[in-house]
Amino acid sequence: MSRDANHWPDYWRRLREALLNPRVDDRALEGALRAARARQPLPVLWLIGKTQAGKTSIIRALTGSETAEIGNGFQPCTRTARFYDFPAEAPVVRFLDTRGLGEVAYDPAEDIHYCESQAHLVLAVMKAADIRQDAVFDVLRAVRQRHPEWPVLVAQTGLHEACPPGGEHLLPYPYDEDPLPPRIPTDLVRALTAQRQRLGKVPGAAVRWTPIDLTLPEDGYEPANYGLDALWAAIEAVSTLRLQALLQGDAGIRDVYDRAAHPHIVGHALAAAGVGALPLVDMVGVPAVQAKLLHSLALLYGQTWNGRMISEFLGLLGAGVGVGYVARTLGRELVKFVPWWGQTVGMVWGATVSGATTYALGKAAAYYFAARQKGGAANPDTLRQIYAESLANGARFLKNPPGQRP
Amino acid sequence: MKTLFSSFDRLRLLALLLWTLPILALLPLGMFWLWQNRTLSWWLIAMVLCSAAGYGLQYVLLRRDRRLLERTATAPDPHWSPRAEAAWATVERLAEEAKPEEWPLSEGGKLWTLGQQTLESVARYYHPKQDRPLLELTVPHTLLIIERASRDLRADVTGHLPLSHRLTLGDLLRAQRWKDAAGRLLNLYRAGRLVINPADALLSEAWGHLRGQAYGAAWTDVHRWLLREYVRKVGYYAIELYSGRLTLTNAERTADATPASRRDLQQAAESAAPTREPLRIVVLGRANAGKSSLINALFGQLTVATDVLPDTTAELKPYRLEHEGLDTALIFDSPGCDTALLNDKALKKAVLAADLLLWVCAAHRPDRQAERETLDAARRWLAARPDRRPPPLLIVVSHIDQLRPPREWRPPYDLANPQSAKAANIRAAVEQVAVDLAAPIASVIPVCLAEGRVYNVVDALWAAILERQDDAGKVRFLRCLAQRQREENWALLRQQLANAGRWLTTLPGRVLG
Repeated sequence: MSRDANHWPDYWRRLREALLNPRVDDRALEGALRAARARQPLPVLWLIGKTQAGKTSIIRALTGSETAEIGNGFQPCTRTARFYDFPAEAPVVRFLDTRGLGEVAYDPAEDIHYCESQAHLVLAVMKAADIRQDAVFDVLRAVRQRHPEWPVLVAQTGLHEACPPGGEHLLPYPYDEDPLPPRIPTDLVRALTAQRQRLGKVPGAAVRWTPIDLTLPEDGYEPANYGLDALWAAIEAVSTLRLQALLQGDAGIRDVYDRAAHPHIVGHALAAAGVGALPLVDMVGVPAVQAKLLHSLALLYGQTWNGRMISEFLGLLGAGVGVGYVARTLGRELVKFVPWWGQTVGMVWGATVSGATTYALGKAAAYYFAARQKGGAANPDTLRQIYAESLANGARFLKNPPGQRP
Repeated sequence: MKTLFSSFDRLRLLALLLWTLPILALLPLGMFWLWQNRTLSWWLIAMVLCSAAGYGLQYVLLRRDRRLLERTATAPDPHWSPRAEAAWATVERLAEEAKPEEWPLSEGGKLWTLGQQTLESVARYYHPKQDRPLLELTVPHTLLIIERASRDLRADVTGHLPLSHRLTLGDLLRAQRWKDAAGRLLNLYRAGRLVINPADALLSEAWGHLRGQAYGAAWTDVHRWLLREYVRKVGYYAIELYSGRLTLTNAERTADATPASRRDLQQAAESAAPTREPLRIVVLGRANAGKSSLINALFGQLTVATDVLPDTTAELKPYRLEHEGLDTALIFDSPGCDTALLNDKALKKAVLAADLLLWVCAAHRPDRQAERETLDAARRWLAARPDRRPPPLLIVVSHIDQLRPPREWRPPYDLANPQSAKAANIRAAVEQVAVDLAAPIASVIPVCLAEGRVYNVVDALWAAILERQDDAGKVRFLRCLAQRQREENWALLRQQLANAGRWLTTLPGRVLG
């Protein structure tokens, strides 16, 4: 077994150090995170749609981040596309946005090539009332021509534009019925159908269409993110990305803070797994990544770490969750393990330990913060139970990390 | 002079003298009486005052005549294309440079040279590459210039020179010679008078000098005016000719509808076909931008079919539009310019035949690159034709009710001082469209065309259309002209061919006979 397991008590000490002096090596840490992250390509959500078709709204609804933050977070990657990684410091998913579609003659070859190297989902976005979408359809046909197996999903947005003035959203969501029920305004049905017919038949599996209407709260539509659940369902149905698991965690997580924390925890766990497998970045080490995660979470929950809090948290956690426990739990998981990046078993072991402990630590910290936020004290038993469950979950999660081609 | 005197009998002259002697004697006798009553000085003062007043009045009259002459100067045609206006500037310069002393009216040859110079400078403007641009004129057209310039000059002279209908060219020349002869006689008379009555003579000498000057000035004015009008008239018709506006038929240009419009008018299926050429208003824009809705809003009633799906309008289709203050107009509904239903050729034809362009642009569709390219192509087509005016362009921004916040619709909105988020967004959309389509913001009109929400069409859009009616009228004028010219060329060619054919058919007979 790896030396990491033998130095387990050391590990707590080093984490404590890293937590108390978080800014030791910020730049080096970020570089290491990037390097670690690069070992596992990010899953990509490829958005194809005209300007203001609602691409940013979809990113906003899926990640829960602010529109402005998304706008500033875009970076160019290919000549015709830019990306937005979420969460920024330890990303779990990459949104690829094709620029200027329909404005200049767009050749999707380069972006198709970019997506070939990583798992992805093609998500076309179009306003339901803007029926002429030849530019988008051409790209979809080109994509499927080359890769009939790629999952393709079309979101038809801005439903209110094709409805009579003053209309309300229909509840429950009727757009997944086939044929579309007569409750839906005739013109909207005709527009949706016309758009679908215009794409026609494409190579490979049928394209999945999901009408949604993502508005701002001040727009006055209820709910503001109309059809988001249907969109999530469609994403999970057509792709193997487990995007919802990455971005929202289990369906059981309903708390806003927990939801926001989840992608951060996943991102750092993935990064820590990468760091553990990288011999070069020993100087930075897994504790630094974990410390960074704990600081990010504190920020999310509006708390600040101090010496007393660290002692309390590690104290609650430490006694019961010993070295033996971690080794046992992970060992059981690793029996069923198939190496997924062609490294030695020792490396894999190290990576999984790093990743899974980071994940568990994050989840435990999230519970600890939530309890403090409510003014109560964290229950040590619950905390340990969460840690234990998360350790197993994390190991499972990392065994077949999203972003790898299944 | 001698012939004049010799034509009278000497005894008859003596009789005339005796007849008038008692009256002539009144002058010295009256003077003597005035002198005796010591009131001669009063009379002299009165005479000086009257002379001064008379001179003043004459001066005023002269000024008025001069102004009248200046006002009758030939002006450029307001319908001219920018190129023709530039050529007119050259003609004006030539006219200003014409000096009466350089071009005496008595020398016909010099006047011919002046006319030729004018023609040549205009010809050179239109055919800068030709060695001898004057040769580019066809014979009937040259004759037409002379005819038109002469006709106009005749009208001006008759209208503005007093007694000109009795004036012969000989009179004009004689008037100049008489002036010299009369001057010599006058000098003799002055010398005699000075000997008889020095004081009186001095006064009348001064008065005469002033009067002579006034007469001379008036004459030079008329001379200069004639020269300038001559240059301008020749220049005017030369420009008309070279810009192709002068046709060999005399008909008014917009009086009849062009064949295309005649067809369209018939298609508009109205009972009374208008005889005047209608304004052609072409509505363009992307599919589903709201072109047909705009036409319905302009008519104030359902005229054209509209739908949420695109391509409701399958072809360029005219409708007859009548509105208070607007000439009869044909308004053309068109398929989306981004669809296969309206290809480049049809679009170009529609743009080039338009007197006013209404470009409909959806406020909530920000991908305007393709639209801009189409619009720029239209601008290029229009610019490639400098002899015609480009039609005025109005950008109609539709669907403003869909702008954020989408549920709010409480017009009117004050765009100058936006008070609500909606008004601010409408204003931002208008500014963005102006930038995206490279149009002046004053020509961008935000409207709502949705059923039951029609807004800003009656006040803002109609006002903007009516404001551009004059410009559109000028475009129409040049369009009709070009059409007429094409027709004339064909008609002449047909006629010439027909005549040639007649000659050919008689040929065998002649040869055989």
